[in-house]
Amino acid sequence: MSNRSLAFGATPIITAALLFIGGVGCGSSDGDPTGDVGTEDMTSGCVKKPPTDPAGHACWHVCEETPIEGAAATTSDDASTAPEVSFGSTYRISLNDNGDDTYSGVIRFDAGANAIADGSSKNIHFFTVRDVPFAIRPASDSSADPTGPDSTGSITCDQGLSRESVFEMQSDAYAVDIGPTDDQEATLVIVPFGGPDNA
Amino acid sequence: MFTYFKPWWQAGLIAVALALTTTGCSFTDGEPWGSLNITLTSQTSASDLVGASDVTLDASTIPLEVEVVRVTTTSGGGGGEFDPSDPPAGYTLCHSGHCHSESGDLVPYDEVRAEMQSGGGTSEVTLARRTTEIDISQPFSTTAGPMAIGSRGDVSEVHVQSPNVVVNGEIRRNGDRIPLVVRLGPISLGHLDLEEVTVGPDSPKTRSVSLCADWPDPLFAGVDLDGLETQEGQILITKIVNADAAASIIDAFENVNWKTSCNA
Repeated sequence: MSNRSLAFGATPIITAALLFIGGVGCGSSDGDPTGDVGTEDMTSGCVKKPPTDPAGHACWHVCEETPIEGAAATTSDDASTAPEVSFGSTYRISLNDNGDDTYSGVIRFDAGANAIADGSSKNIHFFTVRDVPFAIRPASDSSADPTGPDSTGSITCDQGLSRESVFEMQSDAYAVDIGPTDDQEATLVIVPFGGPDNA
Repeated sequence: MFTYFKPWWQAGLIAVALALTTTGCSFTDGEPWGSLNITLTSQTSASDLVGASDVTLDASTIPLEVEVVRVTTTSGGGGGEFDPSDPPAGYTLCHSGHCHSESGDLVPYDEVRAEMQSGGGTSEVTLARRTTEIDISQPFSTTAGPMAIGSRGDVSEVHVQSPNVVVNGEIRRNGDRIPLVVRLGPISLGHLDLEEVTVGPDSPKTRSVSLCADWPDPLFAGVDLDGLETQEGQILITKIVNADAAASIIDAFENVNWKTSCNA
């Protein structure tokens, strides 16, 4: 192919490209919403990107979400029928009156369905407003003795979470005993080790 | 066939193409069809807004996000994945983020996708968003804008929300002044349906829309002040602490009525 035919052969391509570009220019800008960025309060959990530390992540959940309300089962109930809680939500759980000005209840948490693979274990962080006693036992064995947390501590969260209880859990379903406590309800946010809901 | 074109013919074609490239068609590439300035006003006094004589609020800046939204009513798209190379029924060509409808409109991809995935009924597309702020402790007037609208057609609604409401103040109880901290996180502050606001070649390039707040429920009217729990010398109200009070205040914010005029 000669240089001349090469040049002529390229002409329609260039022309077509230019015509296409010109055609694309025909119209308005795309419809993506434009605007400035909102403000964030970095101390309150109200941040756009969920923090990856467990306490910060739990605080973020409280800021972002409307709590889910539910009623705990009584301690004598079969754990398999207790209301189930999972990662990634804030719960306000009403407790049962023990008749002595204290309250308690049972909920169910399936660690196996919440990101713990078979055969492994993981630290699961329970965050609450007050120092509420928690204990766990296998949901499948109502006669098992409840086990208290491996550690407890305090956290800072401007939304009001202040206490942390940490359990090492396997990929099993657990009955979680709450109380006895003076409060008629318990607020609970559950976060796995590392923070993100599916970590 | 180009092989037989004379050189001057080719030069002419290229010149036409270049002219189209640099001028677009009838309007400038990348410019919006129009822009809106949204002004939010509240003439309600602080005491009327609070609605509880034992509560006073400090100057408390609240960030607001103002969105203009197009609500489209469709007869149903029948589902399926949106593929720009295979425009759905009613569209002839999709490229560069928009589709050419048979009516001649340019419709953004997300609107076409929403229409396809709707089973009929209505779909909402946010056309533009701006952030501004108000001081909730006094009457306010603030403008969000200019909000560039890149898609012609009706602007159906203005939505107002806050990404994070934090209000400080104090509550008087038995002669004591107890510091008050209200942290509600992101909440909605309602919306206004717009009438006859259209963006396009036959509409004004810039338009102003006024929204005036009417607060049917004072913020603290539904709060049991005596029942608020005090911790460490202050009253904290969040979604989990004094939660019923928080829910009542959030409802009051969400129930705000926006009118197009404060004189209406």
